[in-house]
Amino acid sequence: MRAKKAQAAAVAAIALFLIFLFFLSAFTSINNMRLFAVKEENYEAQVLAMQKEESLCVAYLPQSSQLVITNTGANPSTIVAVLELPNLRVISMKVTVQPGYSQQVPVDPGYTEYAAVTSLGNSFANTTTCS
Amino acid sequence: MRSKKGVSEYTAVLILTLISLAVMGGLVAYAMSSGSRNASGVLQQEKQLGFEAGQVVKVVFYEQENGGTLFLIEDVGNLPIQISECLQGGAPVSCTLETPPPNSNPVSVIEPNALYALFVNSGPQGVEILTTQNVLIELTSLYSLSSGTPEYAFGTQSYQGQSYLGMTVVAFPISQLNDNSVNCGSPYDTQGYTAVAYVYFTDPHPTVSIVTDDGMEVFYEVAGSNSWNSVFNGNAWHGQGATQYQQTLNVHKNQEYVIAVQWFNACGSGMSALQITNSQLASSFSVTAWLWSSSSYPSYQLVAANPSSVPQGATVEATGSW
Repeated sequence: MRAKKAQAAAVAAIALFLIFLFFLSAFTSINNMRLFAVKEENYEAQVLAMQKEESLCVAYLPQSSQLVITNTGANPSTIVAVLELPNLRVISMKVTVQPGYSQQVPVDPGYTEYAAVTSLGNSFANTTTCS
Repeated sequence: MRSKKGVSEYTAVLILTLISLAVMGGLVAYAMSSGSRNASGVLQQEKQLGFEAGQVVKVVFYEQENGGTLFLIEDVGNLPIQISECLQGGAPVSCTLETPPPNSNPVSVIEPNALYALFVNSGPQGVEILTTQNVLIELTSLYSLSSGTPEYAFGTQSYQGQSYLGMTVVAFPISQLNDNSVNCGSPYDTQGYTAVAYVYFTDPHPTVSIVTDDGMEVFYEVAGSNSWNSVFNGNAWHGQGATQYQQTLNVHKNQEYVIAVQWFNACGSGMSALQITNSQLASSFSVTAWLWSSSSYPSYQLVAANPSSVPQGATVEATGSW
């Protein structure tokens, strides 16, 4: 009789422990996923805000086939590629330009348009007016 | 009797345990469930929110080619993206993902902060990609090769709103040229600008048209040749009300040229309109506004001697671009 009671108590204890474990792990999982979502949402909001503030001035020097990229914005900009157009050709790179500074990038001569693409997804072409 | 009570307690505990496990199973199923894009589970909803925020694609360039559209895309979010399907107007269309030209190697995952070429067998409008995390991303086409012909019509206040060469005169983007601030008399009698830009011609016989008050001249050279040609040979370089001039050029197609525009306005209102057909700017116009201190205005010989520079003796007033 005592053995049966003890068995029942043990099963009840295991069940309670399992329930506790379940709620603990469920709470941790949901919390982790919520943190993940919040982190990504914050990052997205930051990217969208910085996209609007980013400003580069791009000029092409035909004599030396160089592209002069000047950061006219308030935040550092990372150039991830330069596009040569038409007959699209992409020069991949990773160069950070500090506000107020310029970066010279060698490009292929003979293209009509050159555009610098930043890590924020903005494109700045030498054919557009600098602000 | 006591034995029976013991058995029933044991059974009750077992039943309770089974019920608890069933409830837990139900909760787990609810938390993890994701039958469709409209995820219902708590965990799935949070996960979906995270991926929707972390998988952000921006189209940095697109062009139509070979019956489809080439999108140059960049993942500006925090998470890599794997495309499960491309759609246009909700209907599946075939697409291929590659590294950008000239390499063009097939890839399956879009890593953040790198460019990829996505060729979609459709037009550029209404294209969406569905990621393997069930995130639907619309490819909004923001940037394509500019095709603008060099043309503008600027003037001081009294000219603004008038139409020349099919263009409406607007204020000079450099405000110092726009305010009629040059009085007739010392220290400055004349205001002007020197504007320089790079251009390609898409036809060997483009037409240059100008309307000017007072004088204007357009020069051109093959980039880097330092051999300038005058378009109007000084015929438009004199005091006058708004007058139109037109000239056809003989140039090489698809070769880079430098265009230099000189303009002056002797005291009072003035305007300047320019249009070059069959051409495409390879840079914005770099502009310097200047003041002329001696009487009259710079001679044509003076500006023709160095077309891309401010006339010798002029005072630089402001710089800008348009």
